[in-house]
Amino acid sequence: MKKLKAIQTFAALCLLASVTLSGCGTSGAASGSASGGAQSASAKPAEAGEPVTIEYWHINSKTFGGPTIDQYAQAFNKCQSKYKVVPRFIEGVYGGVLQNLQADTAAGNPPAVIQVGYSYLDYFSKNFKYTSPADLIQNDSSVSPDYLKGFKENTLKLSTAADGTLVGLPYSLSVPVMYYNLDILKKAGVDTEKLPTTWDQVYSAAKQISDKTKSTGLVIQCSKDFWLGQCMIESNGGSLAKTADGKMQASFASAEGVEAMQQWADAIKNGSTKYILNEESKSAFMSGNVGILAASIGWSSAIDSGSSFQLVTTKMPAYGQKPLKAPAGGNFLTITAQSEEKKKGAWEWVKYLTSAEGYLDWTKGTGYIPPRTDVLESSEFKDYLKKNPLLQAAAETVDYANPWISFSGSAGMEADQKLLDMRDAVMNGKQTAAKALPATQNEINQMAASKK
Amino acid sequence: MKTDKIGRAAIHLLLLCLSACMVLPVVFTVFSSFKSVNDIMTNPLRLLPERFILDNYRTILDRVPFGVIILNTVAIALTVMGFKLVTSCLAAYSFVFLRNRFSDALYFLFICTMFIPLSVTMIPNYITISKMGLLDRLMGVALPQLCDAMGIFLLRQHFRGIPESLIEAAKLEKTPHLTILFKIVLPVAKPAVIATGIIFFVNSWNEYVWPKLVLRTEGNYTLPLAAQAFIGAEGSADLNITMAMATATLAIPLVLFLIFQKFIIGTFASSGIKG
Amino acid sequence: MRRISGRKKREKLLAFVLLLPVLIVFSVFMFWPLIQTVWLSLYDWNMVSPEKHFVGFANYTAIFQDGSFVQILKNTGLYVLLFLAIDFAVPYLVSCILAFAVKKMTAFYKSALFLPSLLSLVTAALIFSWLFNPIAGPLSKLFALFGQRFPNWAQTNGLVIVVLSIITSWKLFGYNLIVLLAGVSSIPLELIETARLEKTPPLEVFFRIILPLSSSTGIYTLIITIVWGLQWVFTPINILTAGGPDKGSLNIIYEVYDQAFTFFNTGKASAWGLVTLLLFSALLFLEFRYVEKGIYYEN
Repeated sequence: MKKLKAIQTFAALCLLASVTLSGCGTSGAASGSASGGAQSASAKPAEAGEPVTIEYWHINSKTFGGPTIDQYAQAFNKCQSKYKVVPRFIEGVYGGVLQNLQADTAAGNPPAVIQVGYSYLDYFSKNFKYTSPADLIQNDSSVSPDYLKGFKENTLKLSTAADGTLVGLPYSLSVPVMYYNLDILKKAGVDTEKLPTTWDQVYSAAKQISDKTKSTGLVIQCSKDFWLGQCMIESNGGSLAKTADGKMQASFASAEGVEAMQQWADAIKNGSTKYILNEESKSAFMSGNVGILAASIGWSSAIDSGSSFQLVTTKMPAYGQKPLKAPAGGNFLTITAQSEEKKKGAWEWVKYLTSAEGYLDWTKGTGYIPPRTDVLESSEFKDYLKKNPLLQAAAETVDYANPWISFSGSAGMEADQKLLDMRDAVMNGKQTAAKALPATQNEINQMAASKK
Repeated sequence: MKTDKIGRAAIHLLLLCLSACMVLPVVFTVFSSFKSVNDIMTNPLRLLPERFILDNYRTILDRVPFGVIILNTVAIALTVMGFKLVTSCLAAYSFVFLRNRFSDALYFLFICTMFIPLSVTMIPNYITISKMGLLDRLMGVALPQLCDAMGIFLLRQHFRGIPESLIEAAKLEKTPHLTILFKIVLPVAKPAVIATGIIFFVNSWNEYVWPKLVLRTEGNYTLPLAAQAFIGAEGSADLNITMAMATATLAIPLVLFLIFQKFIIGTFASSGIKG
Repeated sequence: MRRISGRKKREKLLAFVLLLPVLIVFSVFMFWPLIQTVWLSLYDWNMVSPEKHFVGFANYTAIFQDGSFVQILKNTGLYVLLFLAIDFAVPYLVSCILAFAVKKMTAFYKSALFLPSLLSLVTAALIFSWLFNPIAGPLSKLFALFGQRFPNWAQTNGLVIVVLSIITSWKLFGYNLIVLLAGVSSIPLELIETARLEKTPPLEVFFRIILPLSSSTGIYTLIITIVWGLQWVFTPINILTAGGPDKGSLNIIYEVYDQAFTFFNTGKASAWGLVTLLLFSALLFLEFRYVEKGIYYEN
């Protein structure tokens, strides 16, 4: 009897589950955030009176800007009834956005507005359909034709394709900065009044730290991209790639590039610097085991709240007297909606996000730096910087922000991966930079040539 | 007798060490979910919180509509488990007791599906589901997973181990096949069915890649998706929040397991098939 | 005579009807994608652009000529060996111990050993990433107490695969354990008792009695360990090393994913997928040879 009852209850549960399944998924039930409507896989036209759904893809997690975006969406949806913005968090960062975009485009159902990482500018503009903000500005009478002049010129370059088309508006903007654990520096006897301003000084401070204390001297952020690597090579006077006749050629194996990479590898060899990836470098620094960290300003709020030592940031160091060049991290907003209606709604949403108040608020919610001149020079922003001194270094670096280079062409992603493999090989001492860089550069250029 | 005792003690010691390796990371996770980030980072070897805080849970309760999400996850897991078990039982019965010319070929065909990597089927299935209008629906997640070659494989092996004599007797009495299935075959194969069911349920509970592709709005998420929403780019994973989400996600399967544990273990007790 | 043939016909029909649901689901969600994959492997495409370039077998030749093909195979082999050791050999022995050698506390052991299987791999990867952090993690501090340095495993070839396997095995162990337990528990107790009375050494009991009698479950678990192990280790690789250092932790399944979703080489990914399938079919062959032919069954 017990057995029969067990089977009956089991069967009943399964039945209940299936019934729930067939009904579920439409209304998104008791979640406070905007939901529903996104299930129209075949873009059926909205009935009169029903708001048009504007799907917004972002990479901001729940602990980094996600709730802020939800608030924006709620406010936007409340103040008008024509459009309904539905934010969607995409996992896998910018690569993830493109993967999902591919899937949805293949299914005929692309979102309205997305965040595209700056390094994907080339790949995105060549393979996906979008509407340039320049066109929308022209056709929008409520916006001054000088709208774009409000942006810092070098930031607009970040979202402008090689042929001059404006692909999107720069939105989240981060730059690399140097984080210092002053407690460790003091312990090692490094002068905390005059923090390093050149790479030579950084490396010798790191050596001092590792010699005199049990802590690691320096860690450089190494995510699944070559961001910091580009910063170092370019700051030393090299370049990641050069464009000639509209073709992109890898060029990082110059003497300057090799020198920058080898110096880093040597520091690892002498034990003052450790080569660890992603999250591990952040946790290592936060837990008070590393003296100096070179990483994105985006990590500042997490590091600040998680650490219990004296923390300061400075601009990235330079190579001797050479000018600092920092690749911009973050993303730009672009409109991938296909129908005219959705394009209009998308543009309204983008305008909302990229207003002066929008940027200022976004900075407060995330620590990103605003790309608009009026915001940067406003007194509210300056006040904000005073209260959050860690961001000061980043605000100063924005003037040096350069495009984050990613190799173009259909083999672009593979080329980026080769850079990472090369970085691994050099930093692990398997190959010298003098050997590895030219070899990889040739491979990349050959690959690009063979793929037409 | 003495060596027996020492031998026994040694075995127990080994088992305890093994259990410790398995359990410690989980215990660590649960305890860490009550710590602040700072606490976790600066006291890496310390199990108990320096200051016991509930903030992490407050944060996730604040931002995640748990009730709905748990319901979603349960609904999908139960449905997938149920269908997989039923279809596997039926198929296994067919392959073992109703064997004909085509059985082996079809069986081979089904088994092949076990070796197809997810990355191969992901996008075509996504397009199919989308065309069916099941995007962002729980059913869209469950539909491609209603059958599993693994279940067919395992149950077929166990069905084959059932003594032919029992089946022959029933056949002589002209018992309908479905009765044979329910009254003879299933009771004997109970441990295998239950083990398979558990695996199906837990796998579905923790599944991430496929549901992520299908489910869009937060109200339709499953637990692993909700957990992942805390892990992002530059802000990245705050260890304390990750631990809290992990503990929350673990809670229900754990409770279910503890409840059904006696039922499960009872059937695993050595029960030879007596002549 | 007529009645028998009538029954036979109904049986044949029933046999087919029972298989119908599986056939339908698999055809739509497994075989159709597979056919698409075969077709796609002959093209050079990135899944979005409207043009597809037919390249015939170029994708396949590119794979075999790729310098890293051997390394990927070697890595895959190492993963498989580690999985088999930790998730096949050990659970087998443990299930025997739990079934026959130990009377007390079995419930505790079973629960404790199955516990990790309840966690999601994403969570496991993040937790172990902290536990194994070579500079700041608990294990590194433990090592420091004994004056040892914890290796930078994510940058060490070989070791990186070991660590990734451990993380995946930690979760896979419990699954295999309960399946093997189900298999081992069905062995008649009398056989074991008789062997014990005859003072047979335990290893002999294992190889002569337990292994053959539970071989069907055993082979199944062997295959599942390889297939699931390689699929599951994808998550820790994705989160922790992305295939690095310098392809040091790449395996064949991850390569399919990388080609498809990191490099957007749909054609090449499909080719890799099929190569994987072919290699796995060697396992299939094993299954059919040994399970269908040489295994002991009560009937």
